[in-house]
Amino acid sequence: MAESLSKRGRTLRLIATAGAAGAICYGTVGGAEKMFPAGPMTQYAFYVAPNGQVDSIQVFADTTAGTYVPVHLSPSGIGVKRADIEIQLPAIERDPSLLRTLAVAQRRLHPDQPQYVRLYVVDTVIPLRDRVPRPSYRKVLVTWSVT
Amino acid sequence: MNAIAQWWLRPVPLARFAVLRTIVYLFVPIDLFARTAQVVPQAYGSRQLYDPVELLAAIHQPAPSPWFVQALRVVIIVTSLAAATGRGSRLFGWIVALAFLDWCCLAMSYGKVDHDHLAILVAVFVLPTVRGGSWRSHTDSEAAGWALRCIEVAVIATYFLSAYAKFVRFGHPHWLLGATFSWAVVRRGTFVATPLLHHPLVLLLAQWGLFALEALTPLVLFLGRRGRIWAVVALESFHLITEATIRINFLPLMVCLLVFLPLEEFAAWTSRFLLWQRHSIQGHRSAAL
Repeated sequence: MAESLSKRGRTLRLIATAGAAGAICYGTVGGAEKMFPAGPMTQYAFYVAPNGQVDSIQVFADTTAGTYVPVHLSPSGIGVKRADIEIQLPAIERDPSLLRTLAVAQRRLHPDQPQYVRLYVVDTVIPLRDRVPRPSYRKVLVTWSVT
Repeated sequence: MNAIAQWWLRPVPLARFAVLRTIVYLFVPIDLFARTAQVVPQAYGSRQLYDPVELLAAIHQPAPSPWFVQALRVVIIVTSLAAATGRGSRLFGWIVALAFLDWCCLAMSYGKVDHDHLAILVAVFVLPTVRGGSWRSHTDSEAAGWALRCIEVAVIATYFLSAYAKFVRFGHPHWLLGATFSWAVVRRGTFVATPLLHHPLVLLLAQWGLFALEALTPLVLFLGRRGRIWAVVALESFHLITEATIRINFLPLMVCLLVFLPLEEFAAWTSRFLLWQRHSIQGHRSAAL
């Protein structure tokens, strides 16, 4: 035996279905990622040339202890993820003071650890040749002294 | 039109719905620590990298403060566990839906937007639309059928629309001849995957395999019982392989994939087991007396 829906219940559900499907279709075909959760599924959707290059962004820091350390871009580190930095990189290159958030998070989340005094955004470039990685090299893209 | 409506509203066992509801609501608190754990530490930074998704921008939600995200996390955990019991699951469910949507939007508002949450967000919004239902229900329900169909379609959309993004919108057909898998392994490869960097043909074939898998997933919606079980096994295995090779898991999607299983059989098996255990304990007591 099946429990049936009222006519109104069916209509409302079908309207909601059409609305959600419409939003997802629009997001997929023409929307931006910021349409989350209905935006396009862009993960790994880009083309990488077989003789292109792989960029891997990391952030390093000079600390109050006189050390040079990697900044842990993770939930257990300072929260902001590596991919966040990579996506916001053009804005960070225009305005390096955007990196302040990393120093603030370190101070609030890990007050007992050495604090950051200067931050470096470093790009490790790995050239590809016929899809096989070649020796890498590093470029410092942004430096910013914590103020 | 009628056939389309019937497809969306086909009755399913209410027990299947109830089991999935329990699983989803037990998983939501785990997601806060496993897939979106960055929300709390991000709030401890300054607000400069906060770049809200359109939903949050539309309601002018500012960058969250630490107390807000801590409180939001408590609300989600408490209401989700309450909804998992099946009692008051509609009221608690609506709170979970709104709070978890806000949480996920915050998680995606600092740059990177992940795509593993579409199905679970659909799930938390459709689960509270169904009245009642328990693991012991023996009836079928159209309301439950619609809810489960929405989750099924959201799961499949996650795969199929990924294939669309690769082939049509972003990567274009030459994505198939690109080095995206090499790129992924260079950046995130584990000890399992990195030896493959020197076998680019294997990575290229895997890339084609992924595309074919994603593009063919809509067929799952039309498979019978056995076909669906095999499809779930295949897709869960795919996710385990991506975790083992490039440390990417799609946990919320893996949980929602269970919608394709005859979960009512698990519910029946559980109640038979509990009944057997009760009889067994009573038998021991009688013997002891």
